[in-house]
Amino acid sequence: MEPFELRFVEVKPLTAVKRVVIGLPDVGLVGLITVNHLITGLSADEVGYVESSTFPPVVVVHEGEPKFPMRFFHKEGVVYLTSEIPIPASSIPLLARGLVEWVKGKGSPLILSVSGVAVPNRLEIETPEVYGVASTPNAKRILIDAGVKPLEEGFMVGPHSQILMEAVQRKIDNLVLVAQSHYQYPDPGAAASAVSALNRILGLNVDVKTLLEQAEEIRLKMREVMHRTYRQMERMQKAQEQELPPMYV
Amino acid sequence: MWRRRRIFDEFEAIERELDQLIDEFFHGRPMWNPQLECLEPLAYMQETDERVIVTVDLPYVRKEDIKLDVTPNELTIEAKMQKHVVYDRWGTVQRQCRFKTFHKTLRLPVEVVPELVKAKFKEGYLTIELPKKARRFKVKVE
Repeated sequence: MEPFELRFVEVKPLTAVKRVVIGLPDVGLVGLITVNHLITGLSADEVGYVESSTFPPVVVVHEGEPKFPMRFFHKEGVVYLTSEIPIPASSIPLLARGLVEWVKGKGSPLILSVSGVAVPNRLEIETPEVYGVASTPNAKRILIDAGVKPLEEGFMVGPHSQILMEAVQRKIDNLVLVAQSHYQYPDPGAAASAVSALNRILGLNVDVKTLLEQAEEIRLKMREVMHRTYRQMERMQKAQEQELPPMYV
Repeated sequence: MWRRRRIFDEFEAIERELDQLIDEFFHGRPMWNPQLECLEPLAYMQETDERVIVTVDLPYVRKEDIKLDVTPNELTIEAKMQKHVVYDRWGTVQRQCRFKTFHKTLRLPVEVVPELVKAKFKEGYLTIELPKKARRFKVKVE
């Protein structure tokens, strides 16, 4: 077998890809909960997986079938990428490069990364706000047309920040959507806001009510993946996102 | 050049493995106990000058079902779930497991005053404020 670092394996070949939505374990597991809700709500087909010699040796067993933890799904031209395990900090640059390269090979469709941005007063916020950062003027137009407020100042740390910088360098359209969220607890409420934003951008009509109804169950079931993600976030100095950027006086 | 890169790659691989081993040693234990039918909740601790603040995520729990036990050095949280959580084939155990409570004991980083501890519960999130025992004095700068 040839040595490899990272590869996207399409079990069912993907021909026409219009959008790629990414939800990886991160702040409040917002991206993970959002993308999983979309996959379930749309009954998207599992079409492939991502493997890397830098990922931990983990196999997920679902109904007796072994699966790679990072997999992608497809529905009506949109690819949904998610992972059941947090991405090790050391694998993020490789994943970002590989992902943007793969997207380029698919004709450079828009990449939509979904994540959370921690806010200390999350318990006082009923409907979390969603902010966006765009890699290109075209992506920024999509952001504004969907009524998503741009994130004007701040730090971004983690897989989506690395993917964004790869996209900037290669002039690929990438929108990073971040919903106000708990930092270290799974946040289905934040995911509901992200789903609403994605409904507007992708022209979908995925129900958010069920997501909110299942909030307690999601919080319970995602405790351990949140715990592992928290440890990875500590390693990548994720807390920096909550710092004020330098300013001139 | 190729050789140098290979050596650095080897170092990186060793470093990664060591990191993982250390990580698993300190954090790798499961967050559940099928014998005691309890789950460990997600809980985090932070410190200010005056107090230790602990927050805990407690889904399926009502305020009246939470028990807190505080000593100067330790905090124990026990909470009964309104709904019993049942897994038909739980992970490596491969049998039905039922969980009824959350349980967690935290070793506090400094001594606190148990009599002055305050707790509030909102939307399934518990916040506990534990005043530190050490007294603090304001110093005038001349």
